[in-house]
Amino acid sequence: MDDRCRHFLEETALEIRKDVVRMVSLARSDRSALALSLVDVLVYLYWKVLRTFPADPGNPLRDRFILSDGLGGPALYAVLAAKGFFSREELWSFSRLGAILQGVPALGRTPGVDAPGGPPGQGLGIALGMVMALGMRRCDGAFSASGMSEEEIASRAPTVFCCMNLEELREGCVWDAARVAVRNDVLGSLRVIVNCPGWNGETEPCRDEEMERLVSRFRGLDWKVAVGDGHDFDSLEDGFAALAASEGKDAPRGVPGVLFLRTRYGKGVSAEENRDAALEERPVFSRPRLDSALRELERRGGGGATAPQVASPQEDGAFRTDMLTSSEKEGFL
Amino acid sequence: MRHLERKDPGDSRSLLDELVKRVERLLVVDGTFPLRSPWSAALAAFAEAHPEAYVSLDASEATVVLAAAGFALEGFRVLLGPGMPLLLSRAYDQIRNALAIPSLPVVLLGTAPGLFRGECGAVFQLVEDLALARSIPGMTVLVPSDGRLFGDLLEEALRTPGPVYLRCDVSSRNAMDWEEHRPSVPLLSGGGRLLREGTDVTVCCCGMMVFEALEAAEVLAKQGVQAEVVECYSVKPLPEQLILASVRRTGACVVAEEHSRHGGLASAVAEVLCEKYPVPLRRVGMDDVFGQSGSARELHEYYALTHQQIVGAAAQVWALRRRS
Repeated sequence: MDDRCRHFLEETALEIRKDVVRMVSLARSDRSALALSLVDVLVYLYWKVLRTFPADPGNPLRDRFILSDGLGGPALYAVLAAKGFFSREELWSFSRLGAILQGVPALGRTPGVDAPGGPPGQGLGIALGMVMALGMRRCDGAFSASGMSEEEIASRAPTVFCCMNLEELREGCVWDAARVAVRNDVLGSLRVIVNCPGWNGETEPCRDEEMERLVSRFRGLDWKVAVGDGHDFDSLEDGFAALAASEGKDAPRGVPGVLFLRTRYGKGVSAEENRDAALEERPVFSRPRLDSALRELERRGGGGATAPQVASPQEDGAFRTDMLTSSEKEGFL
Repeated sequence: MRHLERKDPGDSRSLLDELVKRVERLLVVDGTFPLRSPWSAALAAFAEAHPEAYVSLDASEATVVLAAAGFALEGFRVLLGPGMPLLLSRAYDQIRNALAIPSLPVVLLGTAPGLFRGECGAVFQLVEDLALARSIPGMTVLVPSDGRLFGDLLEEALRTPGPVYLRCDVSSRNAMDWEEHRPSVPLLSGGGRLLREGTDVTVCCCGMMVFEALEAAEVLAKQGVQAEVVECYSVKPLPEQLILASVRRTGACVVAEEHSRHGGLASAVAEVLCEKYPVPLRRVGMDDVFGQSGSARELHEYYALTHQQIVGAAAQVWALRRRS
């Protein structure tokens, strides 16, 4: 990944983070921590991996994305708005009565949402059904046109992405679906992203241990497994490349892949990052807290420990306007 | 209304063969369950004949329901669970969240409703299935009484835009076809049919209790009470106008169903009548207890689901009938 691309993604993620804290604050919600941990991976997915059609959200050729952990909704909404699925103004009515943006992603209500979000562990089963359905439709020739080679058809067939939380993997039906997904007649390709967010502090090591256990469990089921850093775009690129490796050559069926990502709750906003996880009290984003969070995001650039200011101000501005007029983005990348 | 052309109305194999021709992108999604269902043989043959329209997942009910949601999201008309008797109770959460909230067009088959799976005992006798299905917002609940009605309702259900729970207890007992009661009008969700006209008491019924109700009407007629038998094959939405029109004539009502007396057809009818035209009402159904092992016939007698009960209940409400 070249610097220019990385810089663009970082700038985009910063804008998304700002939108997330704004919308969560306006909704008087306390649920920004999980959404902030998801921002980088969603930005990477939507700008580098997924094939999307913002003007035609129901296009059958789109890649499907399922946010199984519905509580991360604000991050998805901010990304969808930035991609142009709906007006950014909709963000400010998040989770209010009559809003198109429900607390948990709702099918048919929000353009760009492919599956209902729901209770923990629901996403993978739905993703499994979608992958099998897409595989069957591919056999029927739904994604082929005359004169296309087998490889072209394979590259046009959509991939299903499902983003889950580490905690969801406690659910039995997740493993049920994971076991079935490696069947011979599952012809589509399935990519699962497991977000493993941790708080700053002492909970880290046991999280890693749990993650290792789950990684080996997926390996035991013959899944392709990769582990990465969910806040580092180079690591994300490597992770997705590892899952896509040797795809389409050895067998017609896609081997399902899972990417475990170490992330941090409330990434970019120290008040959220450093919150004591055991503490029950979860203060909502008041106006002063919102202002300080936005200031901090500006200062730190949303990402790394102390973001060094490399970009010149003019370039900065250019990137941001580019992000908000989403039509040219594809061309830019 | 064109009815499905079938040699034998109770033959689920030919029923599925017909449906796959007539319903576009029909997909039968099934799980594996250790218990043989009356569908097992038919499904095996169907899977062989139409591999593109049959998916069997070696997974739990919950996962199969979620996968069915995925299939429905990609445009398939899903017929779910012919081989999963406990689908509704074991996967209630997934049915609610993944099928009913997004209102996906999936037909859930109830293959162990009421006391039909007699020999297996309480576990496989869902006597509360209608209550469960009826309480889910947007869910259509259909209870056919004979094989032909089942076929017609199944096709209708597969054209319904939202989720449908379809009971299929088309047992040997009611496989016989009541040809004289064939309706000439199309069967629709929210419909019912008037099987016998009468002036003294209305008997609302569904499923196998339809036959008991018709038998009871014969007995009552000998005693000089003319019972009107209304089959409510659509438990939700309920054929309200049909029931109200009948009750306005008779002034008394009995509801008979092979279900717990709580939350099923009886509750639905009572809710409507209480609000719109209160009349004396008796419910013939299971007490607030679970079933047990036994043959279906024995169990129906043990749990008081017979025409004698309907006769007794009709005599009671007729004495108290509303006369204004």
